[in-house]
Amino acid sequence: VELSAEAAFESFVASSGRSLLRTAWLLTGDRGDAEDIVQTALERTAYRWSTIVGEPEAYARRSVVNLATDRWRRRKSRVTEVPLADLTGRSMPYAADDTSLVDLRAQLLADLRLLPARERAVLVLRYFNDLDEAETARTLGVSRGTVKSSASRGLARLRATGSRLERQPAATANSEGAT
Amino acid sequence: MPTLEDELRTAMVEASEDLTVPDGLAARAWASGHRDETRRQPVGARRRTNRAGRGGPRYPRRHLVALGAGFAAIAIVVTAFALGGNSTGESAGTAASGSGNGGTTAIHGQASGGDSLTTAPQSVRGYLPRGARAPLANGSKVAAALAPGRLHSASGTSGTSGSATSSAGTSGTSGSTSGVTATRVVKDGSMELTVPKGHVQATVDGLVSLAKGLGGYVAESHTSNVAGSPTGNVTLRMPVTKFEDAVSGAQKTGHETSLTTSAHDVTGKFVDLNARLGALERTRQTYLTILGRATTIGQTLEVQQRVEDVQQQIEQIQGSLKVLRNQSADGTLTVAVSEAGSPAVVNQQHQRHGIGKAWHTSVQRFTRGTDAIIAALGTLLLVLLVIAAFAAISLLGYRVMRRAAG
Repeated sequence: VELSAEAAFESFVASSGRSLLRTAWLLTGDRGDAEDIVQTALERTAYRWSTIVGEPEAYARRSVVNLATDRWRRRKSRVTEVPLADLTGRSMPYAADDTSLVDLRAQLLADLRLLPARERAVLVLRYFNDLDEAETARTLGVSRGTVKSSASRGLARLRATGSRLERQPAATANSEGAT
Repeated sequence: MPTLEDELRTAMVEASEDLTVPDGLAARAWASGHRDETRRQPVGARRRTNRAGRGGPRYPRRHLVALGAGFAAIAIVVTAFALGGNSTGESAGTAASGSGNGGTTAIHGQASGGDSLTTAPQSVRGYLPRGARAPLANGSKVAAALAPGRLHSASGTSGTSGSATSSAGTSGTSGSTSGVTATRVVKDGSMELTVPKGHVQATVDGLVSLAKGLGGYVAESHTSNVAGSPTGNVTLRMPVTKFEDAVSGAQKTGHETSLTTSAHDVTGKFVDLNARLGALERTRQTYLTILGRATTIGQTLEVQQRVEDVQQQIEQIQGSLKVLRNQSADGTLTVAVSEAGSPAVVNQQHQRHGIGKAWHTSVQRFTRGTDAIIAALGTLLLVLLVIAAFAAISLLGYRVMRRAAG
């Protein structure tokens, strides 16, 4: 029985591990932290594997979100760590590009990391994991109203990023014309 | 036209596209999850394991700190409530008795006679409260105890407080003072008692009964209720031989916060006055004899003037002897009764006036205000402790539940 359970768990990790890792990375913005969080979440899932009711991925995802929130809280009182990749400009897949859309996406991801933990989690769960409001609320342990308001506030802040980027080319054009 | 939500979704998907699960993650997670069963057991199970002595404490430190803080706060609150019931009644008494025990012990004895005087000084126990509860001077106490206006009439009311005043007539001096050579000692004293709430009048009645039981009487009784703090002042007079019994009896009626007693041997003074009285009477008799032999008007007037002067001196000495006889026949005990926790009773004989009274009042109000602020802060601190305890327990429960939920 133990062997079959372990096999089922490995199968679960094979199917959902990447999604969990991507979720953790989107929540933390750091690959090392994301891997640690996924590892811990999977340990918890493995420990409760035989008692988990429902989808184990939901349990693991909730663990990931909680661990990311805890990490975010701890990180606030610690010195900010700057990954070496960020210093070399290769942490983001979108480098400086003359395409405004690419710039917009890069800026959206950067601003996503500046959002409060709950708003960031709501946006990741809603638009990356494609969870509906009820599932998002269950994962976060909050009400649907909280999910709605958090998503609304988060999108409003990200929308401000889009506005800035839309104004930027015009400003750049004006400055070029002046020279 | 793509929406912001679409762009965000695309950005997140594309940005995390290259992330891959490290090799062996599932095996490591499974092994870690089942490596130490006790590490991830429920809280209750871990506690049982620890009680059995297998392994040390496995709780996260912050949980232990929160739990300990919660229990400590609850213990403090319970202790405060347990002690709170007695604090009000005992605080005043403790403070008063503390001052009393820490006070100085003095001996007061005044010799007022000549060589034949045998002074019997009595100890003055307790302390003299701020407000000049000095040893009672002979003159003032004599005047207070024997002035007809105080002995036979009411002492007046205390204005707005609605005081109740009663007086008792003198029952006369005892007849044991006829002998000139008997030892005569004037004994008087004052005492302050605190009694439980609502027992002032009962205590005053008890003191009255005590005096009557000892063959004495109540020279003055005064009760008042100012600002919800009933007080009573009773002046008892009893045979001087029963003075100690009266003191010990009064001590049993309440909690004694101060006691001042004094004894003055007036035997010598009494003998002197009697001797002077006899001499003056003999002189008067001589003048009267001379007056009977006077032949001229001038001689008659002159001798008559001498007789009147001597007669005046005789009457003065007779008055003094009467006072001394009265004083030495009956002892005087003044008892001030107040409720425990109420402001200190100020003897009516030592009430302040003018600027002194205003200063004393302001100091008292400042002290009361400070007490009120400290009392309020104590309550606030108690409430904060309760809130902190609930917060700590709630935090602990929240953490445990969230860990159990994943």
